[in-house]
Amino acid sequence: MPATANEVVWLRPIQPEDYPFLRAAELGGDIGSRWRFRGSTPGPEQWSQSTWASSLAQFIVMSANQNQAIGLVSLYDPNFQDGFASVAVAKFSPVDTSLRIMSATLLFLDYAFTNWRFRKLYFDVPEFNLAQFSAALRSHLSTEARLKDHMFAAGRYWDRFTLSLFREQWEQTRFQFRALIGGES
Amino acid sequence: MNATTQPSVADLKRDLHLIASADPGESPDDPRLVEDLGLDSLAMAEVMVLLEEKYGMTGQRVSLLTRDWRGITVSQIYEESCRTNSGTHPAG
Repeated sequence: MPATANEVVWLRPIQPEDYPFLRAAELGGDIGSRWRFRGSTPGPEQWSQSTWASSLAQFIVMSANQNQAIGLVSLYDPNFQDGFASVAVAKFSPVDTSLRIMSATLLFLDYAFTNWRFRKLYFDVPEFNLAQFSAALRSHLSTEARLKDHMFAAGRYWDRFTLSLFREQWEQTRFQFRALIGGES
Repeated sequence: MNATTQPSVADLKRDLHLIASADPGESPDDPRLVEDLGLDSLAMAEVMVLLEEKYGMTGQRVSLLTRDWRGITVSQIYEESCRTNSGTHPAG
């Protein structure tokens, strides 16, 4: 079974009592305009329904030492016939430069590839977030699609990129970053 | 440890510029990893692997994963690797 915890983070299933906090984090602050609602503010009921509408698995990322919610990882829009799904990652604090969210992301990717027979996982990335994927694009992720002027945000149109991580590449990535995933020393 | 292959602070600076795909000629003498080299999250993950495997910081894993990397320079992390290695230079 894939791990959902390591030395620095653990992935906690979302509970109904998390909804007010998650909704506030998702609709406001730094990620409000970047996350799926992109500025709109659905009501609590609509928000909770859409949170699970296309989700296969999602967890709150908890820091192990402070037991504090620091982010969210989500696996959504699975296609079991063709073998793919999409992954989203949110960091609640924009100034957090620790590697905890990266560690949680790797842990979650391992969870996804181990629990399901996906051939590849997609990351839908707006152009304004692409810089965060610079290193990943050099050796781990592939650009599969670029939709020109696809989305409007912050007063202008932006491209949207679909990046992919194939299972074969993941095996190499997983080995390279095994120290961040945990389970070995 | 191998005394003949001890990496220097210059080695670390070169390694980090390679990971960042940054031009050493355009960086400060003692660049900050995040602000000057522009290392993103995955690049910092590569840095952590480098620090463990080449600079002997294996025992510092939790610290490397949880610290705030803002403002940390190449020489600071090199000196920390030296301290980690019992006051000697890092392992090669």
